[in-house]
Amino acid sequence: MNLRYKYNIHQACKVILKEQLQKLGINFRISGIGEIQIEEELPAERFKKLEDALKKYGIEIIDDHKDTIVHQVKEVITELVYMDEKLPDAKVSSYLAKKLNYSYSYIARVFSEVTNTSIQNYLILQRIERAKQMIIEDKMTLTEVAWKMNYSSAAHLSNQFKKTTGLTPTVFQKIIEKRSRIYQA
Amino acid sequence: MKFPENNLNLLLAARNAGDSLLFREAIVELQINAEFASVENSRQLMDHFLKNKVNLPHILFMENGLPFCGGLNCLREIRNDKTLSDVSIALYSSWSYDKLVEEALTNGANIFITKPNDFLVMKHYLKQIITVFWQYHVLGLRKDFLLLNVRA
Repeated sequence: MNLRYKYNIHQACKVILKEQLQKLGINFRISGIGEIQIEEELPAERFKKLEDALKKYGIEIIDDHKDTIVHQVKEVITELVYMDEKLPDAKVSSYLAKKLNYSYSYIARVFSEVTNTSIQNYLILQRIERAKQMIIEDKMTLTEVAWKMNYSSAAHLSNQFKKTTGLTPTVFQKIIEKRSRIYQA
Repeated sequence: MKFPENNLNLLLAARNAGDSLLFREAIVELQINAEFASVENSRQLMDHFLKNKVNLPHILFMENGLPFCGGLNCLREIRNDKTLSDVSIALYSSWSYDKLVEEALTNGANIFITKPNDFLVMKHYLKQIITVFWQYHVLGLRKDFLLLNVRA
């Protein structure tokens, strides 16, 4: 037999929200279409649980939460790469986890979801950019840059530079210098 | 690929209409939100710049053997025009040797691409280039330090 039905999407959505939020023991108030108010700050774990629970029903949480995380990761990495002292030995993953107070795997997932690139790639790009500045503007030698940026050796830096840009640091330096002679004369 | 803005502006300068078709297809398949235009020779290219002063491309992909003046000469002409200094240039050629790459980058190209025969590889290159470009753009990194040599 065929059963014809009609439905009220807002009503359905409200019931789902209510059920799921109650299941997770979250106190809330429905404050309008597409918005609820939660009385407490949700820790990342519970936020994620709620996000997953609602995803099943096609309900997506619109939040600046992810953008905030991405922003924080970028800030922490920039701060690390551009600080005056030598780059610390500690692993960036544990440093980020500690600074942002989320698990690294969660941070890494959000980061690639939003930016289409991994934290690892982002860090490499930033380190190489910093290395370029040190080579060109600060006239530092490769060995000095490698030490400061915490590469195990000048060869290691040189390899990563080549892998990232397709050029060796020496060729890069030569091109930039020649170019400035051509176009700033 | 999603980008924070959706107005990435790309221009292709290539004599071969096939390049333009493949390029367009790669952009569609990579789901890049981009305005895309193409020109076939250096005269059309300079004309395009004149007509689009307020809407210049973010990246110009230019064939090395561009009719009328060739990629390298065009490169010098563009780089001598201060109004075009924000345009990042990717010069491509089906074959390459170190001296050509160096010459192209020295004369103002940001990117040198050794053009692959395989469409999938080309798509991969394009994604790599646009991702790096976008990071430079968004983070406000020095574009004159953007030098890439893209090859297998």
